[in-house]
Order: sequence, then C-alpha cells, then structure tokens
Amino acid sequence: MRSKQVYFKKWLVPGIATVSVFFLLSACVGKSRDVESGHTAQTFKFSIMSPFYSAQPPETDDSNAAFKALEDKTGIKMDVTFIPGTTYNDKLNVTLASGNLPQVMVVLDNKNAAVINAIRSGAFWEIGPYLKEFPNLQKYWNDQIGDNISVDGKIYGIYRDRPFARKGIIFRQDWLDNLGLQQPKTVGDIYNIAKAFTLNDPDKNGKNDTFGMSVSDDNLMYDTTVVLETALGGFNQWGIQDGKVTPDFMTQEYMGALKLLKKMYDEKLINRDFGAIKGSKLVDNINQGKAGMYISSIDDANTRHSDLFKLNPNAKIDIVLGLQGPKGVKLPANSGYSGVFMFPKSSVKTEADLKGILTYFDKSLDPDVMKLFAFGVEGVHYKVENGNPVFTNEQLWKDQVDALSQLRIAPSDLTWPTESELMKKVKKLYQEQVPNAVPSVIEPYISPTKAELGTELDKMIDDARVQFIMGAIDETGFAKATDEWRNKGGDKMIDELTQEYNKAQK
Amino acid sequence: MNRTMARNEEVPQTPLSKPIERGYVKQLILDIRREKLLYLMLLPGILFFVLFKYLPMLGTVIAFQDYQPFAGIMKSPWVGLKHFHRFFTDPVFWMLFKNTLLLAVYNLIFFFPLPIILALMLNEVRKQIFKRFVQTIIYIPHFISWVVVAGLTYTMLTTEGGIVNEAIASLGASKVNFLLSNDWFRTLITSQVVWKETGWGTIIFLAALAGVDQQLYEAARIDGAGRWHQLWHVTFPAIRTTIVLLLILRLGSFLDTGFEQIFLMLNSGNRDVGEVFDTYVYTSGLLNAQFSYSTAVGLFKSVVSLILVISANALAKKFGEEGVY
Repeated sequence: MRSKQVYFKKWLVPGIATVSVFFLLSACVGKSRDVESGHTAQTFKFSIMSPFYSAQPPETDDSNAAFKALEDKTGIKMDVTFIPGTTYNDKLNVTLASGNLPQVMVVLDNKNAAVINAIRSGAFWEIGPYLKEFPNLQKYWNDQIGDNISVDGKIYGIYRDRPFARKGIIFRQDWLDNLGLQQPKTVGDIYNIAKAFTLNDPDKNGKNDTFGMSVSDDNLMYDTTVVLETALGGFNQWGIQDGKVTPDFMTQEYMGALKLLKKMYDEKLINRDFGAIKGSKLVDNINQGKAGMYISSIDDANTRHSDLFKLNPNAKIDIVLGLQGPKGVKLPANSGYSGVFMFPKSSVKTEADLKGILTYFDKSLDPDVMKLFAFGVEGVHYKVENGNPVFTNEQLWKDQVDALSQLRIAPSDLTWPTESELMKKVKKLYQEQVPNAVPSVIEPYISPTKAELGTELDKMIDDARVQFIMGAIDETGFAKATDEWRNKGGDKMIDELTQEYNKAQK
Repeated sequence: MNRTMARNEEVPQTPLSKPIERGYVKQLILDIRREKLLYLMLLPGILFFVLFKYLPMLGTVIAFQDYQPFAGIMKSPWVGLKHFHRFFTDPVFWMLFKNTLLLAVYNLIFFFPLPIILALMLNEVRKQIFKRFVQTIIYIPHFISWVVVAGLTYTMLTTEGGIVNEAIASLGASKVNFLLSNDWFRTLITSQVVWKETGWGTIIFLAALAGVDQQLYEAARIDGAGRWHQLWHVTFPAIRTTIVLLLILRLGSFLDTGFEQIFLMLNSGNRDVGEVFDTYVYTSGLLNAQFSYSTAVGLFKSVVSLILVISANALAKKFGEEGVY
C-alpha cells in the first residue's frame, strides 16, 4: 500500500509536468501548421479569409452541397475563415500586423494605412499583368472601378463588383396612399411626406404614434446625408471647389442637408434617439410600423422587411432612386465595388500558385458556377419546373448558397422567376440611374494623411453632425469642428488629394 | 491550474539543521537540487508566464519605432519618443485623461463600498436559506454580457418608447435623452457597473467574514456589545485587511475603465465625456492601424497603473496593513 503510493507520487509529478509542458508548447506550435499550400496532382488548395453578414457563416465542408459543388466545378479546394462583417476591419488589421496571412484575403477598406503600407512594401502580388491571361476576368474588368482600387496606378486585387447607383429612398406606399400623397421627387417632398407621416395618422389607427423618417448613426453617415446633399446639387463626400479637392462638409449644400435634418429633428419627424442606434434598429422602426421612410441601399426594400409583412400583411413598400434638385436628378454613386480580394506574397509563394488562385476567380465567372452561386444545387436547393428554377428549401438556400456570395466577385444577373416586382424594379433602377450618380472625386487617389488619420478625423465631423442636428452645437460650433479637422490634418489631406487629382488630370 | 497544483502539494518539512550563510544563487541551486520535483512542477507555471506574459511584453518596443508589419520589429525604423510626444501634446490627451480619471473616481466612490456594505448586510441575515437565496440572485447580473446590458439600457432609456421616458412623459415632464447626453454618461456607466458587479463583489468579503472567529462575538456580547457594536468592533476590523488588499488591486486596474462597456455606450452625443484611453487605443490602433502610436498610449497607461499599485501598497504598509507583496 505504502509503496504503491510512493510509486504513484513518484510518477505523478513529472507526469503532470510533462503533460502540461506539452500542452503549452502545442498551443504555440498548433497555429502555424495550416498555411502550407501547393499543387498536388489534381486539386489546388488555398486558404481564404472573408467576412460574412448572415447570422451564421455557411459551412465549408461536404455538408454544404453548394460549397462542395463549387469546389468540384472550379477544381479547387478552399480553406475558408469566415469573420463577422462588423469586426472584419479590426481582425484584418490584426492579421496584417501578425504577418501570418492567408493566401487570399478580402480587404474591405483597401485605402487604409496598414494596407497601403503593406502594398508599398511589396507585401501583395500586383495582378494587373496577369489579368489578360484569364478570359472571364478580362471580360469582367471595368477600368473605372479598376482605377478606383488601384494603388500608385497598379492593380493589386480583384474587386467585388457592386452597383454604382444604389442609394435611394424606401417608404411605405400604403401610407402614401392612405394620405393621398405622391411618391417623393425632391428633397422638399421628403420633408413634406415625413411631416404628413408624423402628424396625419398615416396608419389610420386613430393614434398619434408614427413618425416620418427613421435615421440611425451609421445610416446618417453613409446614406442619409449624402443622398440629401447630392440631390441639393452638392458633392458626394468629396468634390472640386475653387480648383481644390474639398470635403462635402465645407459646402453650402451640405449645410443645407444638415439644416433640413435639424428642422426635421426639431419637429420630431425623425426618431430622437438616432445618434444612439446602429445597424438593424434603423429598419426595426419601419418594421414595427413606427416610421414610414428611410434612406438606404434600395435593395434593402426587398430583403429587410419580412418582419413588417408578418406584422402587417397589407403593408406595401416602394422605392425611389434619385431626387430632383437644382442640378437635375442626382444621387450619390457608390465606388462600384465592395472590397477587394488580395494575395499576400508571404503566403502565395510562387507565380504558379498565384495563377492557380486566379484560375478559381476566373472559373467562378463561368455560367454554370454563376448559376450555382445564384440557385444552389439542383435537387437540394431548387428544382426545375417548366424550365424555371423553383425553391425546394428556401432556408437551406439562404444558409448554404446565399451566404457563400462573399466568395464570388460578381453579383449574379440570374434571377428567380419568382422574383418580386420590387426587386425587378430595383435592378431596373440600378441601370437607369447610373448617368445621374455623382461619384466621389477622390476615389482613385491616396492621401497618406487620410490613410493614417482618416477614421479619427472623420469621427470629429460625424460627432459634430449629430450634435448639430440635435441642437447641441450651432453653425459656429460646426465651423469650429471643421477648423479643428483642418488643423489636425485635414488641410494636409486636401493638399495631398488636390495634388494627386491635378496629376491625374494632365 | 498548474500553479495551484504545485501549491497544494504537501511540502515535506526539512528545516535546515543550522542556518548557513550562503550566496542567494548558491542557496537557490541547493534548494533546487533538494526539491527537484517541486521546482519541476513550478516549471509549467513559469513557462506560461514567460511565453504568454513576458515574451509579448518585448513587443512594447514598437512604441519607440514606426512599426511596419511587413518590415517586422527588427527592420522598422526607431523614432525615439516621437509617439509619446505626439500623444502628450495632443489636446485629446487631457480629454482622455480627465474622462478616464473621472470614471475611475466615480467607480471608486460609488461602486467600491457597495459590495462591502452588501456583504455586511448579508452577514447579519439570520435565516441561512434566505441568505443563500439572495446571494444566488444577486450573482446573476455578473454573468450577463455587456452587450446585453447595453441593450437593456437602451430599451429602457430610449426616447422612442423606452419605459423610463414614457413614465417621465406621463408625469407631464419632457423626455430626457439619457443615451445621447454628456450629462448622464458617467451616471449611466457607474450605475451599470453597480447593477452588474455589486453582487459578485460580495463573494470575497463573505469569504473573509466566514473566517471571523465566533468566540470574538461571544466575548463582545458578554461585554455588552449590541449588534451594531459587534459589527463595528469585531466584523469590520476582521475584514479590513481584505478591503485594503482589494483596494490596492483595484488601483492596479484603476485606468481600465472597461472597454466593452464604454464602447457600447459611446456615441456622437456623449463622446466628449465618454472617450477613454481604451476606446482611443481601439480607434487609433486597430481601426486606423497606427500600431506604434497606440502601443505608446497603452504603455503610458500601464506605467501609470504600476505607479499607482506601488504607491498604494507602500501607503498600506505605512498604515500597518499587509499589502499585496
């Protein structure tokens, strides 16, 4: 008994010590094993990092028939790391700093300082010269967007194509009908409709429980202000004034948009907590039947209102893209892309590897792969009836097929024959309004100051904007914020961008 | 895990027959030789700290460089105190300093005493079953994440149908925009901490209270002490050391204002009073990718915390308390 105990003790201690050391060490080693790549006989494999915006990332193994079909059709194996869209930029910066990079990464903010520094220090493959070897990619390439993503005139990635003309007004058509009002055509109409929605009981329930327009903090920044100011004849974020590249908030049109919003806030036509809400709460206001209008990407009209129809089957949503103003119908143009696929040299070691990866993107534009991205796998996600695809399992399609869309470069032109009238209108407007879309003039240019301090400086203006609308500061206060912006690096930014702009005009 | 195991192991008592004067290193080598197994068990703990705590600390040198991820630490240019200079001369510095300090002071004044008071009150409860029940209930908020707490706060306080503002409005007063106001921010943050952590904070004090010798109470009662006197002269002195200990530890994280909580409550309406070191490091470091600059800010914060701990400890010792080391 005694000897047994001693024996036990004798081995217990070094045993535990060895095991724990082993665990500690394996924790360190474990990370660095996966990045290996290479050609095997048939299948080429690469690792890829991408954001996802669905509730769950799609499975990327054989349990997802669509993913398996994608791998089979392109003849490539992918090791995908999905990261939530909301924290993607942080994660990307951390990954860049760590130096342990996947072979393909989606870079959403491709003019950020870390990315530009990395590009300039030669960390990414320049893919411009290779594009002509891939027929699909060559056909896909749009030189304007190519310019927008370029760094020092060179192409370092494949952009993910998105519509140029996308930001418009989404509203409750049934409310307009109840009040006998027309759809908005001008900025003035927006105000009048918001007022009627607030005061005239548009839902006919006899209670004063509605307000005109739903606004949130991020929505104000990216959508509401730019749509209003471009309609008023102003810039889309950056324009040319007196021969200089100028930010919108130094213009009259911008102040016009801001004053209108302030008036709407004062008259309680927009939600008073707008500065404190973000993301889906914007649409919740519409879906709960509290508000009747908001400004956003018009495809949201089709995708974000299922809750509204559950609550109120009679609700009707409609859209307007582009508002009439002093310079005609105008709307802000998007950059034409959302993120860029980039290829780090540290993990994509040879030219052959790079070409292997580019082959995937080339093949992803093949008609049958496009069809796969749009509909999924026949027999699993859809079946064909009278020559048309019909859902067999819509939820499965959403989880497995739709969520994979982050891995493709072009949004599909293929449509479900069951597609709603609204979505058809959305797609029609995308095309129609392109000539009226005002681009941001700085899109192709890089300012080192903007890359480094941009986020911090933007925040000063964003804060001032909210405070102005809420009445915490007046026009003098806003001008003070603008001055601070200029002193802390804004002026330098303007000079740098003006120089780049002038260079490009010659 | 490994460390506690090492601590719990029975230590064979082998007192030295004669204390011999030896050098520290020599003594250490002798000790190691004699207690091989104990030191072997210590190894994983040491390894853990070296690998995950001390080695990463070397990375702070990037605060003195213009760190470029692809050049690496070895090849990035040295810039001396450039980032510190930029930080200290930026007006933002004083704003951050003031905001952080005020939140920390609020926390110390309004939050720190509460668990002690609550623990003392619980200690006076006679029915054990009631005490247990209350304890369990008040621990619950600790396990709710800050995201949920922020969501609850929003739902209750928003001007668009939040219960508090509806109540205010029904009383005829005008609604208060709690969430977007500079005036309410610190109150909100401190109240959230009080709601979430007070119950949890009682655990250590209750443990200390459980260790008070019951004979002392008996003796006090015989001397005619009432409940109040017992509390003041027996209970309170018994947990005083614990209080001081926790206070010192608290000062170590004095400037850690809780990134998650503040970040979730921060918006354009209250950034003037809400932006603190942690949120600023996040914006400038992670979003703007100014790795060196934000490391400098973080390093400054750590140095201040270190100074606070050392001085608090020294002060505690001066007043005859034990201190943490």
